[in-house]
Amino acid sequence: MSIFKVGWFVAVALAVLTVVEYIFAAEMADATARFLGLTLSAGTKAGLIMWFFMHLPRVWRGEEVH
Amino acid sequence: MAATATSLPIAEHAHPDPVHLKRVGLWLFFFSESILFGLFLSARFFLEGIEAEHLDQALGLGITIVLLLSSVTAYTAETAIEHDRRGIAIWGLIGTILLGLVFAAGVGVEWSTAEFSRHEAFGTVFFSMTGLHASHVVSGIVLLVLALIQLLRGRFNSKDHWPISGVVMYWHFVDVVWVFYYPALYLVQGV
Repeated sequence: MSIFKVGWFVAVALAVLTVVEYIFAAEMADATARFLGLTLSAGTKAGLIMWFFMHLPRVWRGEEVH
Repeated sequence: MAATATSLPIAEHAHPDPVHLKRVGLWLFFFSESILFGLFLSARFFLEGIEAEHLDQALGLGITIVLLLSSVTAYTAETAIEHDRRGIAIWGLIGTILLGLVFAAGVGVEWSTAEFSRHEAFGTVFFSMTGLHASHVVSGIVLLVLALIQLLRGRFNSKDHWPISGVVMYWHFVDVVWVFYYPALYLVQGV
C-alpha cells in the first residue's frame, strides 16, 4: 500500500496538529499568543492539505497523472 | 509580418493539457471562494473580537476530526483510481460521503442545541459561517455521490479520472475552510 503512504503521513500530521491546537487553546492564557498560535497551526494544516492532498505543485509543474 | 510569424518555432505548450487547464480553473474558483469565506471570517472578528458564546467543545473537536478523516478517505479514493484500484476508490468515496454526512449531522446538532440566538452578534456570525460552510459540505456530498454512481457504472480509470480528482479537490477545499473556521469559532476565545 505504498501508494497511500503520503496520505497516512499527512493524516497523522493533521491529527497531531489538531490535538496540539486544542491543548494550546486550553492552556494558553494570553489572548494574543493564543490567536497567533492557532493561526500558525491552521496555516500549517491548510498548507499540508493543499500541498499533498490538492496537489498544488501540479499547478505550476503542469504534470498530470494519466 | 506573416512570414516572420510563420517562421517562429511552434511553442511546445501551444496545446496545453486539458486536465491541467481544468486544474488551474478549479484553483481560480477556489481563490474566489476564499474571498467569500474570508469575508465571513473577518466579520466574525470585526463584530465580536475573540469573544464567543458557549459552544460544545467535544462536538466541535469531534466533527473537525471527522472532516479531516474524510479528506484522507477522499485522497485514498483519488490515489486508488490513479492506479486503477477501482475497489479501493469506491470504498474511499463511500467513506468520504458517510463522514461528510456525519459532519453535516454534527453541525445540525450544534445548531439545535446552541445557547444563543441568531439575533445576537455571535449567533449571526456563527450561523452564517457554519451555514455557508455546511452548504458547501452538502453540495460536495451531492457531487461525490454523482462521481460514485459514474464509478460504479464502470467509468474512470487511471487515464481518465478528472471528475473524481475535481470533486475530491473541492472536498479538500471545504476541509481547508473548516481548518480556519474551527479555531476561529471554537478555540480562539480559550477552551
